[in-house]
Amino acid sequence: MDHRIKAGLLSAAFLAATAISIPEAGAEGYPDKPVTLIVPSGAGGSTDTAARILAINIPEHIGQPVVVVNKKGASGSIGINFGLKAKPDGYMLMTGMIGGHVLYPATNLSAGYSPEDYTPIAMTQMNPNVLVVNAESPYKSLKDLIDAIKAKPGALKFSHVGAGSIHFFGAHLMMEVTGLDKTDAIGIPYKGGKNAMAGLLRGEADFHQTNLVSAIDYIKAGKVRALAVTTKQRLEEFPDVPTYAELGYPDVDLFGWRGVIGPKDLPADIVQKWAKAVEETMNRSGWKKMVNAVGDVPNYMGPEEFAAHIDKDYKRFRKMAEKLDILVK
Amino acid sequence: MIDFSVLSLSISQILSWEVLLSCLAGVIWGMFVGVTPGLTGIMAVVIALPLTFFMEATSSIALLLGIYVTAIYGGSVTAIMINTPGTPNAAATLLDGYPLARKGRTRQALEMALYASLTSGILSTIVAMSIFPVVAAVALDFGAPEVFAVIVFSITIIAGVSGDSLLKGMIAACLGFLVAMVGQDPIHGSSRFTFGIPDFQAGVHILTLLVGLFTIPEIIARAVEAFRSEEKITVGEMGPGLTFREYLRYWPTYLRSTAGGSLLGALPGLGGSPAAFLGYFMAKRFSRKPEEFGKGSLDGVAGAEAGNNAVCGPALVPMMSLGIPGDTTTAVLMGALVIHGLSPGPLLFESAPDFVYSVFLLLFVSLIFLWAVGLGVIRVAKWVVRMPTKILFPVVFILATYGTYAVRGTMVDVISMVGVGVLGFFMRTQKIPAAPFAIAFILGPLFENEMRKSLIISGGSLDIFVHSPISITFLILAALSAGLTVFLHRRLEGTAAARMIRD
Amino acid sequence: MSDNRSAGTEAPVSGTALPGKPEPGQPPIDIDTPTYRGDVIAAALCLGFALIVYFLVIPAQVYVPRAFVGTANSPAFLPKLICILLAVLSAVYLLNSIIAIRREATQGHARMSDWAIAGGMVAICLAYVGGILALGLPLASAACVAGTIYFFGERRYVLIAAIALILPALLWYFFVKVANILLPEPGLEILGDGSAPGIGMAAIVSVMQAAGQIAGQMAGLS
Repeated sequence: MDHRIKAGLLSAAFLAATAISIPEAGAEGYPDKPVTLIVPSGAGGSTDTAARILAINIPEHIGQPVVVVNKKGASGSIGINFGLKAKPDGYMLMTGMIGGHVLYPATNLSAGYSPEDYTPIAMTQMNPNVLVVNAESPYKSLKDLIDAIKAKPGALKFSHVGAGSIHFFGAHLMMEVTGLDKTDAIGIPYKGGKNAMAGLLRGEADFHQTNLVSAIDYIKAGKVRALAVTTKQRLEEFPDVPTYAELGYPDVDLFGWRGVIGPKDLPADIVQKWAKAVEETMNRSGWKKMVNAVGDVPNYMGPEEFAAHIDKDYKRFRKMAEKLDILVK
Repeated sequence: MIDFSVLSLSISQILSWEVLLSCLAGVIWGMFVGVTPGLTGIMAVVIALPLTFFMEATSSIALLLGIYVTAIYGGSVTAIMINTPGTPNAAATLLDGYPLARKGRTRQALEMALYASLTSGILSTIVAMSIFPVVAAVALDFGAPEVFAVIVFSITIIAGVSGDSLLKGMIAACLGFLVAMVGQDPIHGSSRFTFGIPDFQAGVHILTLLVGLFTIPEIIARAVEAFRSEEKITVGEMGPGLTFREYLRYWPTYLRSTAGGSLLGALPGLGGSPAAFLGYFMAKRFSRKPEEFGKGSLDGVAGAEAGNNAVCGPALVPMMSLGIPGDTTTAVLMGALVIHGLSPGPLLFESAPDFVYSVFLLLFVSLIFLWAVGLGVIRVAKWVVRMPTKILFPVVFILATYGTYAVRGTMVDVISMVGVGVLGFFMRTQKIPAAPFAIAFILGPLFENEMRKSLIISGGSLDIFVHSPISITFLILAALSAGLTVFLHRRLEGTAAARMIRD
Repeated sequence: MSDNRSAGTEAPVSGTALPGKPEPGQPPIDIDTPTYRGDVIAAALCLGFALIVYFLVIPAQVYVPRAFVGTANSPAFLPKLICILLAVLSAVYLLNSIIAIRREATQGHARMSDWAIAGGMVAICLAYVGGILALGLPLASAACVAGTIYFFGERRYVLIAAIALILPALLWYFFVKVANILLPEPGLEILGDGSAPGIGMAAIVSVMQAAGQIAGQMAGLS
């Protein structure tokens, strides 16, 4: 084929492709074109997988395809900063996650955003936290562990995934409510929950408060022992493990979550439309199984409840960050 | 050890048209993306990932494994032909691959890379499969101080790629280490050297750095060359192919690289590029002609490519046994496992041993497909080699920019790429080597992270670094390697000077 | 690319001098052949860089929490250590190069035109980045690929135009439609959220702040 003909065909194809994708403005009848869902983490991670599960299942309920775009980096803040700059027309939303949307701005003054800068739409799933110790350790209960920490302040260590992570706050919250000082146990930061768990198995750390998904197989395999969970009720899988509330510490009720979040000033009708679509999607058969595969538990919260939850978490973690001197300028 | 009843079950599982075709499709797609400068292996898996949601578990893993294996090799094609590492794994390959291409031995270099990749890929997969529990234990036995010792040992590689002047190599390494510190502090999480730019929080990306260090200076140098010459300049010649005798000659190199690469692969989170540099370093150290390295040595290409492919089998072990992915590609692979209800972790081997074997068998299948597709690519490569540089390099420049942008979707990476590129060009004019810069950039953050983590574990005491036999062994190895390097450098320079005086 | 290296690469470590002074009026050398002059400049730049980073950039750009001050676990510990190492190495490099210059005659210069071409290519790179920020990636790429091919000496305009049209189109299709990657919007937002100044300003401001702090401390000490 002549090169020029080829070039002509290709440029024609290019023009055709552009013409199709030119968006038509219109507030009524939202959405009339695909919605982009920014995932502020890398492809393949659990946040990404959760987002893709939603993106596959929700189109029937929202009426348009949902396109997942990954923007990872700096605890999610790069993707979130990007998503927050989107026009509040409902065509660019993002996957919400406790780390990037709450913990990062709560511990980082230069994050560039706070919960006031976004619109919570709906929480889709939660991830309970569980306090674990090495199965070979002598600590059979939370009390054993607390006594051991008290006996030798500064000797015991816990693994977490970085100052300002939920693992970090979880361990410190446990220490705070049980009357321990923040220096009574030393935190060791690891890259990711699985590495932090490996640190516990290796004996580098003595305890570890983590999300259930990271711990579940290790508990089942008998390699670690669960001492307490942060849920209101005991977990189905582990009926023997007490809740923090039962042990007298109801304030240790933190859990990880994922959901859908939009930019600031997102019109209320779009928020409601999405919240309804999310709720319907979550009622689909097989949804629980898919969410469980990522290690989460389905947990719907509508816009108001979700916003209140975020606000509560943000405030308490900011306060803790100041107390623990991990607030980054 | 291998359970043969389970193995036969696994074989029956993967011998279906759907699985094999998925694997082949993965290899072809991975190769296409791998050999296009600017398109990275990560992008290849990310694009394929949504497809796997609708596929059956074994087929989807076959597709991703095909991409995973091929992308490691595919990156070396652009490294050899146009000095652009398609993946960070190929950064060591270009040190000798590109000089070979410039000397008109492109085909030899490409075939060496392919066969070295296949050989060590197969060997390391056999290692990972037959001693899965041992490899799995490595990840648990190596705590922060042990990994630190391994990294200290790996840092001695810098000397091996410093070219003629160790001093210049070390200066380059210091600069690379400093650039690697841009972004979040690994322990505390506060920002360092970000100058108020949010996107710098995530640091400078490795591909940004490699394109800046190797590709941009090459483009500038080719511009100078194009100006001076009237005739049509191409990258090089395809030249003769690799003979069977030449392939056999480098078996010791394959074995050394496989051993080193397998160990580094089994350590979670290190990825393929340190293994490639380690393989390259060992090849040079044990070579009878170390002076040829950096100027076009087949041994160097063999060492680097065998090194990075030795990672692919063992890296799947911590991914499956602990759920810790070795690099971004394995992370995506892990995501696909999770989707299909195969949660990586301590229970995977007990609950689905046939699946674990299937994964390794599919690696072999992918390697066989890679062989066929790779030979095809080498046939096509002659079109690129014959392309005039005045068309090729401007196009490569654009592709590299898109690729750099696309890795994380931020313009800060493109700006960094140009900045590093200009720095890289001035380093090149003064023969300050780029490879130590790259190694320090890769290893520096690991060094810092493991060191500081160890110090937190020990409460500030330095004893922790010499507590276990593993760390002592590697620290001694590091000292020996460093000592030997200084000694060899002095001798090499002595003989070089003596030769010049005689002439 | 030649492997014949003029004297000047060896000296730093071995200190071996090469015999025979180069002839006067020697031919120009390749742009990527090192010279002692270049060594001196490079060493001085590295030394200066290490000192600036140590004294000005680290205090301004590395936040050290109270608990970590003065320990090996401080975020500033390794950066400082590397700066010291870099400064020492650069000083040795500088000394070696100065000694070598005094011992050897001149080594010839690279052609000025070579430097001009290299500078031109660097200018294209910078213009490309500026172009992306101003026009977006596809348009800037079309202009850049055409400009670069022309710069490399190609004069078949139809070919240049074809590449400039097809390449960005293909890339746009692949990245946006196949890979779901959002191409950058024109604008300077990436450099900060408006409250943060641009790269240059941030650097200047932080360095000046650090200089002010150091001056303040010194004044306080005396």
